Amino acid sequence: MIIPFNGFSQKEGKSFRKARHYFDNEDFAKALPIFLEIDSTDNKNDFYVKYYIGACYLNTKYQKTKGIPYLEFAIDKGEKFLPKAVFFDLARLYHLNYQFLKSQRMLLRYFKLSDDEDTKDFKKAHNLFAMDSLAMVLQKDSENYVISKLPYPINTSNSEKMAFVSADNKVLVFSRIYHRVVNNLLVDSIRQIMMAVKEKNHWGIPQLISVEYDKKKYVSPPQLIGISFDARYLFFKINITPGNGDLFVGELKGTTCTALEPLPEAINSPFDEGAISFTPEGDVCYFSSNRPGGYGKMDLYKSVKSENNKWSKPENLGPMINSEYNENYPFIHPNGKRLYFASDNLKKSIGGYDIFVADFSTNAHDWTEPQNMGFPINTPSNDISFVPNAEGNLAYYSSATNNEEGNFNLYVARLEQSIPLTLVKGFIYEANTKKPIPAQIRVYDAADNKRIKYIYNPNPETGKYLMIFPPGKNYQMVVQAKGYYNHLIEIYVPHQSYFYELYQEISLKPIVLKNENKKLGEEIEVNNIFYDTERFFKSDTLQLEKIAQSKNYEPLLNLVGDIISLTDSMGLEYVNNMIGKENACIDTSKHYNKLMGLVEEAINSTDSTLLQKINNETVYKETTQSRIFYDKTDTNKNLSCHVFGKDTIWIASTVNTKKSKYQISNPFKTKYDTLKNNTTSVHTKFIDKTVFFFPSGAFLISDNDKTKLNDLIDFLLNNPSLSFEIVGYADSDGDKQKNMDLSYKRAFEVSRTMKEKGVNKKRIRIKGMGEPDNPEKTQQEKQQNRRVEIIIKEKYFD
Amino acid sequence: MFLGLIFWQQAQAQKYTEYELKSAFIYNFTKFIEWPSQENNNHETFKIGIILNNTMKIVLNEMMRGKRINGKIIEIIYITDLSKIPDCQILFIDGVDNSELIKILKKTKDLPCLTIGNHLDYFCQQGGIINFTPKYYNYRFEINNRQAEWVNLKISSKLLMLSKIISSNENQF
Repeated sequence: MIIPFNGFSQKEGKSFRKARHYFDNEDFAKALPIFLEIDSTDNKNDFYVKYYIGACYLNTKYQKTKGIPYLEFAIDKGEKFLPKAVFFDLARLYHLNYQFLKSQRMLLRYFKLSDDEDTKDFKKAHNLFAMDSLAMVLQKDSENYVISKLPYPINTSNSEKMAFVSADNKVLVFSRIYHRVVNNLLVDSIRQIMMAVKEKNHWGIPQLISVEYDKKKYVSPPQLIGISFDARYLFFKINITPGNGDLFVGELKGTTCTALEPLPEAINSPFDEGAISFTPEGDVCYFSSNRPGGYGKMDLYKSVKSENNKWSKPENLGPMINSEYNENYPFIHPNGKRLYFASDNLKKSIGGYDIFVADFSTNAHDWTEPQNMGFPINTPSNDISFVPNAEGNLAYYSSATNNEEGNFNLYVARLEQSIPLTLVKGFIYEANTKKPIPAQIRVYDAADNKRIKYIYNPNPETGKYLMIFPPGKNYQMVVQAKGYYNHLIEIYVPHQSYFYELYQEISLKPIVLKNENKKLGEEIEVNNIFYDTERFFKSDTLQLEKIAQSKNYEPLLNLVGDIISLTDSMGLEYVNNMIGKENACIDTSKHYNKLMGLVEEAINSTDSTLLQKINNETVYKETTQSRIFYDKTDTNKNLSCHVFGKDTIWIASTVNTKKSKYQISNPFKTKYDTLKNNTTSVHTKFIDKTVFFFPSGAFLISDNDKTKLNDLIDFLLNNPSLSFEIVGYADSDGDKQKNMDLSYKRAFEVSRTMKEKGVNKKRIRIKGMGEPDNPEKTQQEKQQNRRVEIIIKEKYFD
Repeated sequence: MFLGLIFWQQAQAQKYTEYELKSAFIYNFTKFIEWPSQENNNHETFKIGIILNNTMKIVLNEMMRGKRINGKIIEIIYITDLSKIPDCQILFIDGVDNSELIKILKKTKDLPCLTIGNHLDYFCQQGGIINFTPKYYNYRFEINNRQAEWVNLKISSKLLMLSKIISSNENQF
């Protein structure tokens, strides 16, 4: 509190008097602009003007800390004339401004000036000093929580607080105190309950929720203090009578909340209950109450639901948690062991209410000492209502930073530190024999082409490999397998907030024409499965999780063998289920009826969003393939050159496994469609030529050759990207025109068989070449000319 | 007690695999597709044939346990010999080359058999009826309704609305 003083009345000018008049009447908003004007125009050494400016700022809502330089100046120049309260006020401002050391220094000067140690202000100053000390300690240890303020239209110039999020992170319900200001005066504060729904990646405009309650019975409107996991039910506190606040629950339908019912008798009491939080299973609740028998003011209690649906007599959480100060806004983490709450314990907070966290130790059968969550979550102002989401990786909380005490904003904090490493366990094998292939794998960071360490090459006997690298990036894997060309695999490893593993299989196989043993190309198939080990294999992953958390990669070298062998004991069963292996088996404990029901509901109500949601929760095996064909005449056409930093590698194909939800939905678009209009150069690879011979005059494929032709047709059917030409020839015996017709007929017969078997006629090109220009000399040469050739090519682009 | 209704059941925390989801779809297809009445009368059991996907066989077996389709007991037939494909009401096809697929679809072309492909290239274009899609697609399946109509299978418009409609490439046949 600033005490105006009456010094220097001689220097009063007209405007100064006016300003002083406003100031004395506590109309700081009107006094401030006048003082500022005086300050800017007059002699700037008038420290008292600066004092008044500082004092005015101190009494504003949002601009308190603006007064700092003015008060500093005033104290510097006119220390003797100023009341000691000024020192305390400046110390408070420093504290609000995170300048804790300066705050303490100013308080020391205040203490020197104070004679009476018993005043309220002196005690407050003492507490502030302690808060500054604590703040400085916490600043050093500040956790790496990443926080951000929720944007407009969630946060506005009004006060938003007490945010709760639904389990699917799609619905946010919070309180808004809508300030009605007329002529700079606060006329009315209306409490509103707002609900915002997530649209794609941002929150939509909050809607007002109307709550139906008995207005005659209850004096004040319900205050929001919690929501159910699916946001179907809202929890309220209603003041029955002053000093008796009870907790209620109501059902949310659209934007109206109806049918308010009081919570069970065990929880409500004739005293004040503040807020409540339930575990995900709904059988334990934590709530605040100031009923007698506690440690003082608001305390936290716990009640457990028994098998016959009765709630136990509430148990005070004990002196580790509760104190003679207020403990309120409890929220139990989905893991059931970690409790967040707010307390204004002067000895433990850095200002106002702070958010604390305590863990329940099963050994000690008690709570650990609550830790102040520190910066940046806690601030010198009030910080309350810390609410993690169902995943436990994000939390919403309310903070009055930089605002007048009652004016809150909503923030979100990212709780888990991001995992520094991801684990990719892999297996490389030959597709037909299923046997491991000896291979080398190199991985490069796609952004800077730097080679990644910690890639453990496949064991030639088992084909198993292991890769460890930071998530959230694009990578390029070069696979160099024995007997095959090099392949480049592009993968994207998504961000993880907790431990996932990627299981990968790479299979290679040669592409042959059946019965010919001709290797015409090779195919690589990559299968990626991201699976969430935490949910399925709790105990086994602890070791791996520790590895992932550690930033010290070297000890990993020792563990590689262990890690790889762990693959076999855990996850393999599950992975087999995904991949479709022979020894797959079922987890019979799953509740399939629920899934069936959900799918039926989605189809019946043609709810594609629900289908999408179910789909997002499903683990898929993601497959990508790449086939390359060899050019018989020019092997250079098989490879293209890639440079990765210092390494230059010749690559036969690139497999892009990065899947985007928004990718073009037509998977049947071939390269040719997209590149039609581009000026990239087109090349043709010559892949193979198959020849069939005929007796003189014949044009039908002989029975001996039928299998060969069928195999060739199958090959063409299986590789629709290849183009081909059927070219018929004849020997020089007989009429030239007849030979031309004969050669054409031979080609045509082949094409007819192809069409019958389902080859797209658009692909078929027929040519008849007739007889040779120069007649043959021997019978053998004639035999050679009575043929049809099927030439297979592939068009590719640069 | 109302509080019991509010909370998230443990079951929802589990993730399902794609085969479990696809099995759930297959079961539900039978609720939204009508087989011709003749077909219904001729067969005592509802036959689902699975080609070359062992996991699907296991999963489907488990999920169909105790269930009936159109009042009939479900018989799941695992097919490994492509030259001998029995008559089924549903044929789930996976793990085949395109050339093999063409032969299978030729066989089922005039039969009231709901052919379902596990994300096979050109499945619907070549005459398959329903093709599952990869995870990242915006729609879960593609449907060739013309082929369905050709064999008197009535697909509910609800199912059609949720899928991408593909037409046969007539040139193939």
